[in-house]
Amino acid sequence: MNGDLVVNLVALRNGDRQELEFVLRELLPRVRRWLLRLLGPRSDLDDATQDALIALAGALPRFKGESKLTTFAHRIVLRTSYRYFRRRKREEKLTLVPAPPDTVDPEARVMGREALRQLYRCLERLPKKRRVAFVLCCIEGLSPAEAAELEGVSGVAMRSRLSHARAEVLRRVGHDFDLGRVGQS
Amino acid sequence: MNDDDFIRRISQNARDAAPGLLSADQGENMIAHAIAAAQQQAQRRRHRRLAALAAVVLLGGMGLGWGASQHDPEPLHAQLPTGDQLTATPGADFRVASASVQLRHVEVRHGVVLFDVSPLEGEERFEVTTADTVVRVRGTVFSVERENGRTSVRVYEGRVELEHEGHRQMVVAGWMWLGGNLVTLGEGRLEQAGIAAALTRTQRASAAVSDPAVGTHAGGLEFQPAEPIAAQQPSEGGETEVSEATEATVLAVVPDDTPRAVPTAAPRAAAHVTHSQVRQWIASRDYGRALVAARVHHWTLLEADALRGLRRFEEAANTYLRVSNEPRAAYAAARIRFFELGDAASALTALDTVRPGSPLDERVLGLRTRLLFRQGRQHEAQQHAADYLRRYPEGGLADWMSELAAQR
Repeated sequence: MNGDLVVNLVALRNGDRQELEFVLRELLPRVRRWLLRLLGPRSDLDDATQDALIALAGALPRFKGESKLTTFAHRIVLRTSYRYFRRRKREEKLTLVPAPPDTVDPEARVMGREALRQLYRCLERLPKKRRVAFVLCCIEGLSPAEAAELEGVSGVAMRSRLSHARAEVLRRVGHDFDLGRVGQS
Repeated sequence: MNDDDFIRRISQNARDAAPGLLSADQGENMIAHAIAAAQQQAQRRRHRRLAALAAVVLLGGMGLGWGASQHDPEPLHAQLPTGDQLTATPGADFRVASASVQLRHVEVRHGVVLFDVSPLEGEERFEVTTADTVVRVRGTVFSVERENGRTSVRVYEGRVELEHEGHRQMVVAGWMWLGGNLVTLGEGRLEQAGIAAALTRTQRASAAVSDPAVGTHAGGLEFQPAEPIAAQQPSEGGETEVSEATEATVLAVVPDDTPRAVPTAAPRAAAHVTHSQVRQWIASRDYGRALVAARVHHWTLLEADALRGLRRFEEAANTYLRVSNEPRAAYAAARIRFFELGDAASALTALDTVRPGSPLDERVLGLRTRLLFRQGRQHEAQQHAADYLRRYPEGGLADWMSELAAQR
């Protein structure tokens, strides 16, 4: 048992294709979500997803069950995303999670998209590790300790990166009053 | 709203975003392709291990060492079965202790050896040792020199971790480790080759990058050029903002973890501040100080931002409108007039100053449509809604515009 996704570790380690397909199928939505948050809205999100799945397909047979499977997978997706940080591609149209129309200001919806673009434009200018720290801790909501475990660094290092990342984001976009209104109904 | 709230809000917005949906077929194809590709990679790794084993046997048969002849005028070039390149100065003495895929280990006894190491995968390791130092790399271009009982390591691209007398040190591109000290890269033998290899590696990696704002220079250092302020303040001067060094170079010195202190300079020091400092004050909600400095320097857009932060909305809106050729300013004025002052008519007037073709076109059209609707100018609002749907069929306001356009 791995605590989150119930898989047959023995079958995985024995190279059981059906088990591998099952695990990849279960992980796919999470992989895409993690990549979107790491890379931002981009036209090559599908390419990144494919690369991450290839890396997972190669690594899953070696999964020993010592950590949660989703943590193991997240770590691999993180490594894949590093290769994409340098590549700048045309931004992809986004789909915001739809909210009930009578509670969401239509203006706020377009501001939400713009805010997302601005945020990722800012994140693209950060050093990669600080960018990842911001995504993992602020957007994904992981604690610095959890994020540090994913990145394989100390908690002190992760907190330092996060602090610098937050300061940089605030410096670049903190004065944007419109961004500050995003999320207000 | 404080900084934490701001971060929380924009992070929640990012969290709410969803990637485009994949059809079931697309998902299954991706999974099938992933499994097939992973199997091919595993096969290639097996072949490389066999080739490396053969090379180790061959190198072992050559006498465990490699000493370049002092009479060779040219550097010696060699390639390991794993694709890593070695270049040695005439007279260099080094030994390939292991050339397996999992562990490549070279001992440098004397002279200079330049390494161009392919990016490592998984748990593969590449190590270079001298009598007193261990250098561990992850895919980089660097040289190791052993001369007169002293080891020096020069990094041209990427980074290496070295261990010396029980202490670990990271050395990044553009720096060298010289007998225990970290200094900027100085001239050394095989430098030309090192820089050339680093440039090649960087160009390969940057081939897909289309942003001309990011670049490298010889030595593999990465930099981000100053952020131009002309886009925000086309008619005003100001000091160009210089970005911080990237984390890669900061790692070469002890990183400063101490939080920055909030500036406590008195307002009379505003005469000496920079444009970026004022922006920072606004970002940290020090609006009063920002306002004084912005007025001293006639930075109208920043002045308007500071006034808005102080909730002096009428003044802020009027000040924004004084900024010419800046769509953001006119749009901000319109929003303040409508959302803060409840004046749809003057908000529309402010929007009229925004020229078409700006990055804010969609938002301007959206706001204009809403303002017309609020003013009861239904017919005009519907025309604008139709225009919006024609230009931005998948825009954020498309569904609201569709409803408006469909009303009779």
